[in-house]
Amino acid sequence: MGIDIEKIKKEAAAEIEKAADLESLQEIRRKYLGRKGVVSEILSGLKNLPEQDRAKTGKAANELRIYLEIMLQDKIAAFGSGTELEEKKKNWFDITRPGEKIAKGHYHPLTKITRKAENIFSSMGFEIAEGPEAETEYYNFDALNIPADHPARDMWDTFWLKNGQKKQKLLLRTHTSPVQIRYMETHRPPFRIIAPGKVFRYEASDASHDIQFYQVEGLVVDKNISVANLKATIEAFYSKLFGTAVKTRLRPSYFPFVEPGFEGDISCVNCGGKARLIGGQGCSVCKQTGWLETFGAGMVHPNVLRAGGINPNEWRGFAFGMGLDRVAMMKYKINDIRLMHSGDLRFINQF
Amino acid sequence: MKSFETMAAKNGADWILEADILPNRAHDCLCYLGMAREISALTGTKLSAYGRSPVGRKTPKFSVREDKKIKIGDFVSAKVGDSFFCPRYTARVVSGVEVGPSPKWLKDALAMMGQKPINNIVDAANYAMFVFGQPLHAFDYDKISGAVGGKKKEIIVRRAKTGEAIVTLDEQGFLLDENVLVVADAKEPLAIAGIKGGKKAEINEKTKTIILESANFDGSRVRKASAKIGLKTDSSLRFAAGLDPYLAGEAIDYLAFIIQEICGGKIAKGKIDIFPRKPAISKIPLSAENVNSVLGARLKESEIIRILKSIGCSVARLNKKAAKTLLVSVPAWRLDLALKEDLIEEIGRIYGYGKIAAKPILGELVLPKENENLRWENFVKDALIAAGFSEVLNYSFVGADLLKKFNINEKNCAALKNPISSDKNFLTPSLVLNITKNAADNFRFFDEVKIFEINKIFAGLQGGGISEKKSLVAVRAKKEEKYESEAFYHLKGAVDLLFAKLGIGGLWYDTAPESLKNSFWRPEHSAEIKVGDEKFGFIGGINAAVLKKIDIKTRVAVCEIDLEKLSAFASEEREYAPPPKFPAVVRDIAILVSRWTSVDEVQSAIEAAGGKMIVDSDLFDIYEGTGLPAEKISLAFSIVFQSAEKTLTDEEVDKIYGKITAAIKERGWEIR
Repeated sequence: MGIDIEKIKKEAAAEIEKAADLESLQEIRRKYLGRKGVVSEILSGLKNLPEQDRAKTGKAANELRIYLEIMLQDKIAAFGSGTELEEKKKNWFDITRPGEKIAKGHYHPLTKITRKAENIFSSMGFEIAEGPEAETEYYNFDALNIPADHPARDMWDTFWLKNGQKKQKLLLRTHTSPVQIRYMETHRPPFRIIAPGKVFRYEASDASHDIQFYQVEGLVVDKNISVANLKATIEAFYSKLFGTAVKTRLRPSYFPFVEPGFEGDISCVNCGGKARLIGGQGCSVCKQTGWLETFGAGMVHPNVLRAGGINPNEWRGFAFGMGLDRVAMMKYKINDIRLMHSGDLRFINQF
Repeated sequence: MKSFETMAAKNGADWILEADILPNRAHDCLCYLGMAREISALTGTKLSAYGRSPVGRKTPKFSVREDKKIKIGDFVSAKVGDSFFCPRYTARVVSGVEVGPSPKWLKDALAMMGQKPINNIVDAANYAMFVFGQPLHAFDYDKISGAVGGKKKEIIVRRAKTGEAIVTLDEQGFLLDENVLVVADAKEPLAIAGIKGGKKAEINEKTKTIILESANFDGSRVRKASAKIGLKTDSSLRFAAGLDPYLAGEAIDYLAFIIQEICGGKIAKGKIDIFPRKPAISKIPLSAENVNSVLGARLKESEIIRILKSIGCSVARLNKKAAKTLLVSVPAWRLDLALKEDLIEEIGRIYGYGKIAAKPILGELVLPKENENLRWENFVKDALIAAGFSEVLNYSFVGADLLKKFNINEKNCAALKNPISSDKNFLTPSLVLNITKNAADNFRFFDEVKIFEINKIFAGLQGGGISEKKSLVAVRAKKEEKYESEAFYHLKGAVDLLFAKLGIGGLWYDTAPESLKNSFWRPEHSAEIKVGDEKFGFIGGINAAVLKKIDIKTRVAVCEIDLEKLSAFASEEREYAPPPKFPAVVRDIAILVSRWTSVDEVQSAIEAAGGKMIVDSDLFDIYEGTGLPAEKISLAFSIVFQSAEKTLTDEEVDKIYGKITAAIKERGWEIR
């Protein structure tokens, strides 16, 4: 026979094997299976063959075509996935590399808590009042119904300043209550204010006490203010602050500037007031009592209203005070109050 | 929950209660009687033999068996020199006592209160004090000096004379003066009144006849005296809190009764009782409506009356017309009940504050006035935090030592009378002091420190007084930095940003004034922050000598700004201006100048030459080093030319550019 189909098959197969890329394969297909390709030539040359060879050659040529077609398709498919790899390389992007470091500043935790307190009370219509830290004895004690020579003065360990003026003794304020007196002197009721700020106490520092700390005090003066209003206001504040319903408990106490006077507890925010945690162990935050001592409060003493120029027969008010450091420590689980004034970035950068 | 914080501990078959008595109840509750009254009011249990009926002065149910033959007048009389210091003085005499150890019940009772038993007389007096809250004393009658001439003995209650001395029962000697009251005989003081008894008339086993003393001394005077001589006792503590003078009369009878029971003896008939001013019963009008209004509760009037009676008050109607108003008579022993507010507290606490339901305030819905200062303060904090600074807070205290190191004259500072330590004896006049230390401390763990603080600074004023104001300080420091430059310019950028955010225009940096020469600043590396002629503060490096003294090895850049001034100038007002109609032309120029030329000088020259067609000249590069002649630097500016009226042609721009290059060459600078 003139045409050795087996030989062509072997040659074509070898070429296909050797093909390095898609283009070469397209070339091979054209060469063998194209319009003017080898198989075409064989088929169109069938009429030139002796009659008894025609059928056999035709069949072999068609089989060859199918064989090559399949081989080509397989090889092309293999190259197809190579195309995917190239696509990937072209579009390579590592999303796991770290992002650009943008300098982050941190708020002091006391600023965060003070702002929260300011926002919560502002939203209840409270104005924010401020006053001097170096105060006169009058505003810090006398106007608050704490006369000199009175045993009640012993309740506050005071830093006294040398720079007194005329007969006025100066000290570092032991509470922010003087701000309330100053405000009353210059404003007509009704009003609601909070006075946040720094206060000073002459006492030894330890994990829960420091010579300098922050308080927020509140004063509401209106016509029919009651103890029930005090409860509601404080509950609203703490509930919003801790993000959970908080109950308050008032216990009788004594402060010269309020009557009745209370010490106030809130239901423990750690165990929800249950004194135990889920799992059965006792709550260490409230020492298993279910309550946390957090504020002092009372109905403003008539002498104090008078010192502020307000008639106690016409107006009534309640006042409260709480330590902000303590609230911050409760909320953020800070274990030592002295960290607040340490300037240590390992502490501050956590907020 | 209703009276005092109390802890309970088991003690054999009994319990010990430790109660934290509130300061305003010290006068009636530092004793069993007071505590029994509280418990009775809270639980409804009746008071027993020692109890008193409300308000009245009926004698308690123990009886004093006076002897028929001997009278007190046979033994002693008394005189009170200062009835304000000693509002009441009572005394009794018991003769023929057997002094010895106390019976077990008395020893046990005293031991439980942490008291040492001495002898039956002294122990009885001590015990009676703890029962009644009234300090009591006993003298050995025979040891008292009579007046010369053998007349009857007399007890004189008077102020001490300056220089008079006494040796107390504890064998301590005290020098006295007229601020101290003494109980004396004809010769000398027998006791420091209200505070401590003297050794002279001490009771011992040989004592046969005793004088019992139960007196009332003025609280604030006893306090002063106790502070003056430096002696605090159980007795002075009780008087200092103030004491009901009616108590004295009952306590002495109780003591006589006990002594007779345990020591034998005959009680002389009668008692000395010098009581010139008897306090009147306090009567306070009160209405149930007012009580409920203050508490925010709904107590029935009958409940209110019941509670008031349970604490010893008697209640009547004010008058027929004002039937809704009660008239409450306060028991003599409650010195803390003077106003209706005090009664409302009694009613509230006994009723139970827990029963009062919370009720929101009912008021006018008016917008609270905004605190402008606080608003800007918060704004400044936000701006600095966003710029990557972290906030610190420091103590307001500094020490004299630190002030010296920072070249600050302590005469201008506010000083503490009672500092807690020598490194905290002044109030800080500048926030730079403590924040510099913060920076140095943080280098242990961080290579770069960017922190700020907003706090008060204090100054002592000439002629007295203190001024304080809020200050802002910011620090930028890198570990082992040899030059402040990078830190300075970074901080300067932060200040620029801050003023921009606060809407304050016209910020400029002036050379440091003369006054900075002897301060902690390094004047050549510092500038004064100004807007026009208004001074806001300083920015710069800290003096190398100061850094050395405080042991900081790196260069630090700080700025301190008057925060209150910033607040005053800050504004949120912004006005929109439409973008310019005509396009701008930008030309770059690089100028070679000597390295001692300031950028400001060059920029001013450019802008002056270019005139109003220059909209902006932006320094975008400072080049020094290779390729440049020695001691020369290259400043590259991007100059923006723009007219508001038309598009500038290239020729027009060239012309202006020409003026600029001419001006530059004129100054001896080169164009690259």
